[in-house]
Amino acid sequence: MDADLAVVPEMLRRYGDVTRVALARYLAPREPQRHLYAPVADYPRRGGRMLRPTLCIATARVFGATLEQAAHAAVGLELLHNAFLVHDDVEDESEARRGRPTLHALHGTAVAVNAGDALILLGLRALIDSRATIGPRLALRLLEEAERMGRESVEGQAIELGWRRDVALHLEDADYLEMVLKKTCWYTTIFPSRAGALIGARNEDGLDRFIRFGFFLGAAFQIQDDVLNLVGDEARYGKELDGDIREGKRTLMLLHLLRESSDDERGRLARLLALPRAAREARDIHWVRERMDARGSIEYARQVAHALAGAAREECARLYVGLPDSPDRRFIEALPVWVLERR
Amino acid sequence: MSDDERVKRPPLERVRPIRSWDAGWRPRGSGDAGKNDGAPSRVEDVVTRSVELGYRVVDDYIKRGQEAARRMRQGTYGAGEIAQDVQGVAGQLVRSAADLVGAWIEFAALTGGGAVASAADASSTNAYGPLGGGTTSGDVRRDGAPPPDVAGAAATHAATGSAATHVANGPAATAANATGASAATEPLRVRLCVVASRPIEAALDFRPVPADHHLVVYPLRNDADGTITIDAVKVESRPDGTTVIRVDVSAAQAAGRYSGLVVDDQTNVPIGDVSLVVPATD
Repeated sequence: MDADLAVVPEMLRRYGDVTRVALARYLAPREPQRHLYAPVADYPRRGGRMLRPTLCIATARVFGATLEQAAHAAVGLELLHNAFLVHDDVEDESEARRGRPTLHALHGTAVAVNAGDALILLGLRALIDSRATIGPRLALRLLEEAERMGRESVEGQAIELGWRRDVALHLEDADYLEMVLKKTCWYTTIFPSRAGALIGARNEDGLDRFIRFGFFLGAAFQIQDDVLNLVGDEARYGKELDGDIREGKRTLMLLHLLRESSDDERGRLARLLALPRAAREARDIHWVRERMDARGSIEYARQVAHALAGAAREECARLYVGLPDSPDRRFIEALPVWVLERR
Repeated sequence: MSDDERVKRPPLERVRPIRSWDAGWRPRGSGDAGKNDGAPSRVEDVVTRSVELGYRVVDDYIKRGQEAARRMRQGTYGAGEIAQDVQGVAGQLVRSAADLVGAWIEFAALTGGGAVASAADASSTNAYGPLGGGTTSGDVRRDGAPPPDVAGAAATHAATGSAATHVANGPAATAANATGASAATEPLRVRLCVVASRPIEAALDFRPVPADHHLVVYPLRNDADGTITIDAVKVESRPDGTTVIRVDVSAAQAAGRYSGLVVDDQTNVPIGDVSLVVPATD
């Protein structure tokens, strides 16, 4: 691995461990255990990458915070992230998450949705608890930031759900990027960066600059994630391969395929997307996947991801210019390349 | 062209914005964007268009937010009133407006029955970067300014000797000039007075508000046990325009870290907090 990239897994491990220890306090067994707190603790214990909390802590430390000051925000973020995953899996009718059946597949939709609700509340609790280390004003600001992040995320999710419900076919790349900005970037990269800067600098001036960096980084991350859904190693990827096609998810590859297809192909694709998820057969999925290869849709998405990652590096350099060199800064600077190197 | 031939505008090549980069660079006459022209995308084109489109999307998004903020801010400072139903939104805008004015925070620590103690300039640490000015004295005025080209810089000056800490968040004083902020939006001068019979570590984390605003400071609560409070907190307006936050700490006050919100009474937005560390008695 490139020397610059080696810092990423190292920091993910280090700050991931810190977050997991702090997280355990919020996931302690209690009643009602079987139908609430056991499902609540399920996803967080499946071992995610801890990208979001690590980005939050690293940003906070770059701007001068202590580990302790950033830990609550990192925990809150991870809990909210897991809440979104639970709800997303229900909404997307997904079958696998982090290599195991999804929560609703294990416990039913009602228990899963309720557990997701509880994860949101636990996440808010962790942010409120940050009052002890960063003071009430910043804690309130963090909550405001979290509220905005949540609002942007559900708006982005609504846009995507609407596309599927309405069988939207005439989408353009700008539509996709706007959706990703809201649905993915805000909670994956923008909020962790803004929260970290807020905690470290104790000041909210210039926070909008993190939107640009977070957008490019998050969009590159999401597109690469979508590519991995088609070409990744299922065991490492943790989700069903080609699941996005089965769900009718409007990825950059699908939009490209819709544009590049012949009229006959586009007609078949439209009929397929109009079907309910369960009615899409394996041979249909295989056909879409094969067409994406033939039309260069996956390669196209890769190129876009690389371009956006390049813009993320540029924005990162602007944001952190003049700050002292540190593993935290090197971690952030390496992320745009790392998101493309994931397998 | 003959004289009697009417001049006509050529047909428009497109009637909608180009929102798809591969559609944007498609050669003329190759058909609509949905048709396959059989030519694979060139990497350089895709890269260039991706970045252009990305900046367009994110900058449009930011611009929309900024325009909404500007409209709200003008409402806040123009009419001087905020409708109750938009106070939540207005809160964010007031903070943005606050970024445009300089901070003026004064600090005083009083120990031993109200005598003004001079805080020794024993140490000075910056959380990030240098802050203009460098000493901490018993009565400090600071026009907070962040280091140039730094997002959200902050500075912490820790003074020992009288066990006092002054935290001043640096608003962008330079931004006021850059954005043409009115001189009428003078910042409120704030002084923190702590009266105690033992050394107290005090911090005021504060964002500037206009001089005509009033502050509300809530009782300070113990961070470990919220039922233990310091209730003797007063906000006084002095004839010279200074607002004094006075906190009286009784001799029997339990040790611990206490903090209380500072709220802008006009907007009901938290704009800072006062925190004290009360040491255990020997």
